[in-house]
Amino acid sequence: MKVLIVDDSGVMRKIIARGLHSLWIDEVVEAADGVEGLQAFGDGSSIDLILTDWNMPNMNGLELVQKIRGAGHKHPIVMVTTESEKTQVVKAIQAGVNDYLVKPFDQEMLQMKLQRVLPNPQTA
Amino acid sequence: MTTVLDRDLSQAVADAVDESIDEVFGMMAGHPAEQVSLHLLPATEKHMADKHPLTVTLSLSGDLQGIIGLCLSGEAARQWTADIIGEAADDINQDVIDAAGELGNLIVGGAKRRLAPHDLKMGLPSVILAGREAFVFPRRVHPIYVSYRYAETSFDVIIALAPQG
Repeated sequence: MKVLIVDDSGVMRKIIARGLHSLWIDEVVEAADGVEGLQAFGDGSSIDLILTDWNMPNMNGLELVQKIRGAGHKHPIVMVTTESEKTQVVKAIQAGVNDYLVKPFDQEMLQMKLQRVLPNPQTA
Repeated sequence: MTTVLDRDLSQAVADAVDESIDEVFGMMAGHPAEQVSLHLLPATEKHMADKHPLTVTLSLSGDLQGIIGLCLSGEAARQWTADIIGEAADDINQDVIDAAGELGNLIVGGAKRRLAPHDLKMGLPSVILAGREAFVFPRRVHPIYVSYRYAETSFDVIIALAPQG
């Protein structure tokens, strides 16, 4: 299981990676914005899950999701963001995110979101 | 035309920030942040962040305009960093700076969410490594100054907003 974390905050990437490690997911690829995220995603063959922030420089998370979905990829994507207005959530879902995690979150909430998009993260 | 926040709106903003702080520290740090004091500063009085070497500011625009600032002691910034990433820092390194910026982002993001009937846009956090950075405001801004205690450390929040127009 390899997870792509896209967030312009290095600390937030560490927090998410720490949460993933507690779920026995050790393979993590980090990117600081949508452009880097798209490069790290490549053809998608080595990535199983994407966790992306919304507000980032260069290319935001919504654009990243639109590009990945536009290329026909079906990878599970969770938007991890402080944006929580209903209109924003609807916009993200329309763009193709599978789930939405509002910051701040605790490890339990992260785990719950992963369990929704993955069959069994502990055994993946 | 009203040029300063009325009492109800000042209280609503302070409450939104306080609830957000409660949520952020409770969820992510495992240590609560306890409010110690809250008061309005005279508009022209300088608040010297002399005991706080690390200052985070986030701008807000829209129905309310201005900044929300956090003044963190070095101990508070390092404690927060250790709590959220599990790595202790001996000094104010890049992780501590990033963590402080993220703290500002989370607190102001949560406050913005709680003030949802107001149309607000949030800027990116700026972290200033200047302990004696002075906060000064135009006369129309009446800042709210709130002190918190957090796991044997302390930090202050300065809410300096004015209505649009």
